[in-house]
Amino acid sequence: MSLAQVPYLNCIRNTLTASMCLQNFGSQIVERHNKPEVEVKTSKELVLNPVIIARNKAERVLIETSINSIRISVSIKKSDEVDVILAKKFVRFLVQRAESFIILRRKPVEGYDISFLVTNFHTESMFKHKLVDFIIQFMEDIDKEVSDLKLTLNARGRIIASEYLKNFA
Amino acid sequence: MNYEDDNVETQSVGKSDAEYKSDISNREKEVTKALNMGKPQDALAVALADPPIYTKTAAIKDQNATIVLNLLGSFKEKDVETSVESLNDEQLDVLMKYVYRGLAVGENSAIFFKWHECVLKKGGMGTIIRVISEKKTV
Amino acid sequence: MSAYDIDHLAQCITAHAWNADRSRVALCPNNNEVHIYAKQGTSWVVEHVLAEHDQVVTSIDWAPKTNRILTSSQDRNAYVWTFKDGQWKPVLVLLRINRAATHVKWSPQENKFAKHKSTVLKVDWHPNNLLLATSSSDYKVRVFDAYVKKADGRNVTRPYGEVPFGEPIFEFDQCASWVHALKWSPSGSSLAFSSHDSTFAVANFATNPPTVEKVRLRGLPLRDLLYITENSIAGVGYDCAPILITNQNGWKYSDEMDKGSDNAGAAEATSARKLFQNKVDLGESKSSDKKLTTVHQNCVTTIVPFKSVGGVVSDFSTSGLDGNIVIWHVKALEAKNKFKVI
Repeated sequence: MSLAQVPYLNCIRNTLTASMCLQNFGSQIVERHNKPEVEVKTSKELVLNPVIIARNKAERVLIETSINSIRISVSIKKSDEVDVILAKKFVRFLVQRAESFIILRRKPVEGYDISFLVTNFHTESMFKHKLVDFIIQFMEDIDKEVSDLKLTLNARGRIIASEYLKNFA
Repeated sequence: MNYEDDNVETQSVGKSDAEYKSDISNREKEVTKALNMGKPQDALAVALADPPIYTKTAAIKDQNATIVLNLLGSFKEKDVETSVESLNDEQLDVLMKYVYRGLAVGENSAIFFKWHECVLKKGGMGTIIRVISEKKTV
Repeated sequence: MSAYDIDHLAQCITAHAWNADRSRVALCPNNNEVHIYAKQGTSWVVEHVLAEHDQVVTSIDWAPKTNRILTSSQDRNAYVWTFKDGQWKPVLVLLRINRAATHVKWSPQENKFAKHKSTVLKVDWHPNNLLLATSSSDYKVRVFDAYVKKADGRNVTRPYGEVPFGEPIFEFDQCASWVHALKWSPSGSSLAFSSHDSTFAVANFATNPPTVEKVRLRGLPLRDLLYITENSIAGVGYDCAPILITNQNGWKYSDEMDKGSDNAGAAEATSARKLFQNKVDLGESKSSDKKLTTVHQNCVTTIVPFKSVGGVVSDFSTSGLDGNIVIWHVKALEAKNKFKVI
């Protein structure tokens, strides 16, 4: 974790700890239904105020909370076009494996790269502090992955360029 | 969003938009005055007093938020902690709501992270809970 | 004597209730069944499984005098269970409600029980068997006159005169979010409630209309409350540890009742350091073994009295999403964690 990231991630961690106070809640509208209210939004009273935590124009997190579920959407660092392409590819790779991530939402919320959906069933079967840890760790890792990919890409570019230029040496 | 029912009543209490507008222009003058006298602490107290939570007009909330956020953004990081120390519970709750408005913008975020950290330390998790749960927003 | 006893009985417990002599506990392991455990020696064994609901059971109440169990579920039904010939027999109760039945409770005389537009999250009977308070997801607390001629007879004085059944006598809108919990004080002179905006309020019924005191909490919201004495309330919720709120010329947050294990601070620091070290050395973190220092490891949803005499609770039990039932001994806790119940 780079030092500059610390306040950003701490802020997200604390906001998540406060938001992830969920309970089992059957639908008020449809009998015998129990759906994440943050997704179905059947009653306004069950959905809380969404908050955005932005580090800069590109890096931000949207946290939407409801009585039985919480949706966390992340927009990751994109300093240039290579970043944009890499982020897109990487996220695609993850989403195709969404099942093994359990809380990963198959489709990110519009304007974000990746979304998580945590419901009361997750907070019941897993410890809350570990769920929060997982999301923070994930955010740290994804930044690192993208930077690593970019380094490798640049390194490869350099090798190719030098090999190519050797012909003219 | 298409809500089928809305059981939470919204009451029309509190000040009218016109009253809030005059509040805001007074607030702007007083904040500037306190800053010019070198008393950012006083400016903070003025900025956090009686936020326009009852109005439904987003423009009024935005106008007020601009004044508060400019003030919060003008603080030096080292002064934040001492400023937060002197606030009462109600002011802390209001401040945290503005801090989240500031965090949503994504500019000058370092200072807002600092505010967030200090308010949390003084006011506890409850301050964040009230930002997300209270429907009367700033 | 240790300050608490802990038993891990299920992966996740949504509700629990004790029988009259505290030899048995009924709990819901987060599904459609109710398990009745009996203590044999030092361990708890399942004695009966009550499976009649078809969705998750939300609340259990065990009537001490008549030994009947009342359960409610998200399937919008409630059952009264009576013990006969070694078996628990269910009787379906028609609620005719169009919301999930979230909470049920026997009235003090055990002759009726309580269960609105929004979901009612909790109900509680006034000790006089006539008033009923409900808390709801529409941010309000209401007090009803629950006089039923058939159950109460004619010789009762209704405290607020003739009020039509179903009309609230009082409505409290001090909360800015879902009202998770409410409880009448042992004497019935005050009503405490807590909400998802991390606030806590007490309505004092000495005056008419009642006066309400509201307290902002530092921590996360409370899910359930228990009057330990007339002036001390234990609250449990998302913070995993019970807290104490007391009334000394006004209600105030007093202290945490579970301050965590003794060397918690030191352990935390070293593990944080280790975490960092691991990251540096191995490029990964080993955070999976992190454990909270509190007794409960996840949200606590229920708090009920275990032993009480004349409205003073000497022991109480809590259960939560971590599947533990913990019996707390108030006196020992006071000595260990240095707080004072008043």
